[in-house]
Amino acid sequence: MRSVSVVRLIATLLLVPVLRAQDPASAVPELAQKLCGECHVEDTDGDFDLVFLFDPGVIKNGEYTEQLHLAVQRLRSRTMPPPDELQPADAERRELTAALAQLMPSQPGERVATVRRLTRRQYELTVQDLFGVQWRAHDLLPEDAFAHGFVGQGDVQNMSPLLLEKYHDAASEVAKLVLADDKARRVLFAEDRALAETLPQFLAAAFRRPVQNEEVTERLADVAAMQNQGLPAAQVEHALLRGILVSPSFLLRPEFGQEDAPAQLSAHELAVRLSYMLASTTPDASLTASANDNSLLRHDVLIEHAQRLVQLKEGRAFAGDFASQWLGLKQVLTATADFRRYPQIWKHSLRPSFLQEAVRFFAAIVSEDRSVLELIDADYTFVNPVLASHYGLAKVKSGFHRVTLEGKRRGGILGMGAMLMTSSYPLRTSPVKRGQWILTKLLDSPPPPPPPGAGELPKDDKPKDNLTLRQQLEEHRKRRSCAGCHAEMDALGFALENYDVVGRWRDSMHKLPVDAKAELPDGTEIDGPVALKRELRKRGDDIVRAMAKNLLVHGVGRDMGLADEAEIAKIVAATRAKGDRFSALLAAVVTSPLFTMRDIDAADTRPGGGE
Amino acid sequence: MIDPMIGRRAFLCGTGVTFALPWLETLAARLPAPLRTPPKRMAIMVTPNGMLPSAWHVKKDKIGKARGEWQPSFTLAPLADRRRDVSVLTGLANRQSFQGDGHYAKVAPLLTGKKIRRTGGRDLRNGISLDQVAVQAPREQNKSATLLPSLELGCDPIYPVEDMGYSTVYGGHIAWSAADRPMLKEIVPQNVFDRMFRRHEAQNDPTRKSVLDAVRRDAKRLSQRLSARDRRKLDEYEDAVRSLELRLEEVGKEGDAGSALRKEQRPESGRPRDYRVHMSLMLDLITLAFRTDTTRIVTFLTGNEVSGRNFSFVDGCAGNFHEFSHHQGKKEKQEPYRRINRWHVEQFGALLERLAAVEEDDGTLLDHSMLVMAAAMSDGNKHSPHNLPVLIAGGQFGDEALGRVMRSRRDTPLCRLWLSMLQRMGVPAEQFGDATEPLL
Repeated sequence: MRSVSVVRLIATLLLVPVLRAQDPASAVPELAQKLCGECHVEDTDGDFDLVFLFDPGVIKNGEYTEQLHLAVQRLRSRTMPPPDELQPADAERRELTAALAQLMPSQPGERVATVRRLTRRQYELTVQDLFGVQWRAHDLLPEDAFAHGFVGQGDVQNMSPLLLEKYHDAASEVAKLVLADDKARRVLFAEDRALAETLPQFLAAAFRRPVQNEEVTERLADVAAMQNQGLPAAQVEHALLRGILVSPSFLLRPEFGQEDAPAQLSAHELAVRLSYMLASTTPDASLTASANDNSLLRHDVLIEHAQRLVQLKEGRAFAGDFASQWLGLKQVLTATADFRRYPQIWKHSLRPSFLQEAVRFFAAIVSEDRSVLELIDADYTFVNPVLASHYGLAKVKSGFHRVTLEGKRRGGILGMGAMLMTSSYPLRTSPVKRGQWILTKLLDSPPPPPPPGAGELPKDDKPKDNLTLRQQLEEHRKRRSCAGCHAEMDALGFALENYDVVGRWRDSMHKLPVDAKAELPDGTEIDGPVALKRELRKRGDDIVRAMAKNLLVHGVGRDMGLADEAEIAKIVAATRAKGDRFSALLAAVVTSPLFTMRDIDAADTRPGGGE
Repeated sequence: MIDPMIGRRAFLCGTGVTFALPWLETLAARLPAPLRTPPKRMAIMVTPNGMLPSAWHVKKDKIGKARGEWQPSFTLAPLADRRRDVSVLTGLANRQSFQGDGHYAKVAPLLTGKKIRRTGGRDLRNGISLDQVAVQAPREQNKSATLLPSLELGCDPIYPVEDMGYSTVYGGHIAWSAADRPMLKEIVPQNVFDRMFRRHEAQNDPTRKSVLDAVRRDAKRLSQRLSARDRRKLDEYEDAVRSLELRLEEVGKEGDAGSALRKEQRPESGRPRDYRVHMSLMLDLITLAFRTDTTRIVTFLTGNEVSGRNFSFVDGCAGNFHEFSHHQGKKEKQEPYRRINRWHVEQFGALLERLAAVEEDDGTLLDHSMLVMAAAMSDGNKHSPHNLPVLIAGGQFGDEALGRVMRSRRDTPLCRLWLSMLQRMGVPAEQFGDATEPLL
């Protein structure tokens, strides 16, 4: 903080002669004056001065953006203004956040996603769709690196010699499989059609774009040369396939934009973004047709395809990819509980069932086009016999079934084992982790990491020194350095104390009644999950925003920053105007310039497509 | 003629639990005779979450003057029989990791000596790690390149979470071939084995050139239209194609060093469930790689930073490794923490035993190698970057350097050790990171 103030001081000193004409403090909007002015406008102890952010003369360097991020983060996480100060209304908080976000400088090229490579799953599905064969990569390809919660982000996808070798091995295996399967083989090598006939179409499918003439002729020449060498047909065919499957045009997803408008994605690039975002695979015939005739550039056509693709397997393909990454659902597969206290975990199907439940639930919202806020609160869920007995619901026959829930104890992601178990320790639940989960995933306002030496709670929730775990945590929060973040985080988590480590309902623990009462930072008192869900539903804007933002990160392949907030706000408004329906969110996302443009800051920016 | 048989004992007994690996023994017996003039090799093993300093450091009154005259601490006890061959280095630090919270900011620059850029993904920036500097240096001494320029090994796939704003990528890679290029590590034993020995497929493939030429044409075509940022990614791709080509050529040229092996049973597929088996296989493979001169440079990240692995197979250590490392001075956490640390030292000892059991020329593989074990922080509780736990072993360090506790002034650049190693590998380097003179 100190170094920041020094920079600001220097910046101010340098600019003083120029700016004297106008008082810099007057650039600070009224709302900011009202909410933050007492401490942060013309701040004499030099801690954090909003004048610095709103001053048009200040150089927008690294220090500036750091401060800007901090200000927005504090506002969004509701750690500012401090609890004992005047609290803004939600609309005011949004307005001020937007005003700050708008200050974020942006330059052409800065918001362009780095070229992406197919993830392992995308590679598998793409190969399967190209040839119609079943194929899994297993250990042939490594696991993908994550960034901002998602795989397939170009910035962290590197190509090392080892990886290329793996792609070479994978291509070799796929080629072998394809050549051994008559139907798959005919995709490229048909008895009744010459290679010169099949190759252009196949290359276009493999490269997901129209191909240039020479791309075809060069490959045909390669084939002829190998044949002239006297190599057996099988070997030549294998080599041709291998060369296509290791090609950067197959492995990478480059985006160049339209020829006369490089800032806008071409129809084929749009098709690729859409298809991999929603179906994890290469564009199908129908989508490709719309790209070929450029009709995909029309918003109505684009939306129609989006709504179609997302329905794949009743929404489960999309949910299994997007929701499980956004909400970290797969973590439940490796979560542990103490088997002496929670012998339920001996049932090996329990944790996979938790994952299934959450995926099917999310898929239902998608495929039935429900309000995305049902994620928080719904009167149905999906259970198999294992889960039905685990949750204490009526018995069901084998397989998963949609069940209507009586009462409000369950329903919504916060009552599901996938969330509840990943946010627990083996011997106790963690209100802190649960609160952090809600803040980070559902509200997209992650609390900052704890300061060093923040201390730690016991691993077990057995009362110690006559203090319950909750009382011990409350002691911790009395420290001023902790209270700011823990006030909200813990409150959200306490309200879920009725769910134990493995997600079962409980009314008492260690012979004491469960205490699920909590006070939110704004003073609202809640008791238990039902009240929590009611309160969270009031945060519809934040939840829709979190979902839209994550969908964009996943679909576009880069982190969404402050500069993107204005466009995201439009998506939120459009979604909310249509009853928070998933279809509205999806349509707003795929037609947003954040999604349809390659470079939203480029000079050649012009409105893309028509209605 | 030197007996090509790898000593049986090395694989059947060790300092801790060891698993009999019949395949390695059989394979070793069928290998051709070892090289006449042994090359120099180096392997660096990095372990996660630091080491409890109070259990690691050798007490002053336990250090004598002569080689081998030091009494191991609790953590170093597994090396008691190797006191003459191992040195404990104290006082070293990687100054470029002093700033930056969390684990990743410590481990990513450990072998590069450069400060990493804090980013969740965009514009990754580290430096080139010493192993890759050695790979990239012109080979003065060893004209013939090895089949694999280097081998990057690990046991964990990359973790999905950032650490204090530092990308997932930083936590999973210690070898970097350029500031923005982490080297993918191999974590499946069978894949390592195949990469070294399954050469028949690539050998004499007449279509190889055609395939790679086609791929290169595609890359060139794309490259012309890409932005600067994307072009860097494509450069990486093209460099990888070149490496692959060189390697495949090498496979074609090379005699049949590994051909005796390929029909034998490979390690099983997948990552072994039992971490002890996984570790043991990796150590076997390092030994085999050196023995067959498949590579001379190995980095091995035994676990990713912030690893929460459950070491329940070590007595009293059931639980989360990372949580034990944040011991807060409490005995009940320090005890499992230091035992897990000691288990890692035991593995380093097991590697030494394996190498010492393989005779080569007038000595053993151990005599012709440099081995390092290091952690990116000392006390995991404080994420302390000072006085890093570092062990060295192997005859290539020279007799003077071995069998001692070598104390350096506080915060002596760790890079001085790396510089010493580069020089011993025959790389004409005069500086590395913040080091301008070698440590040894």
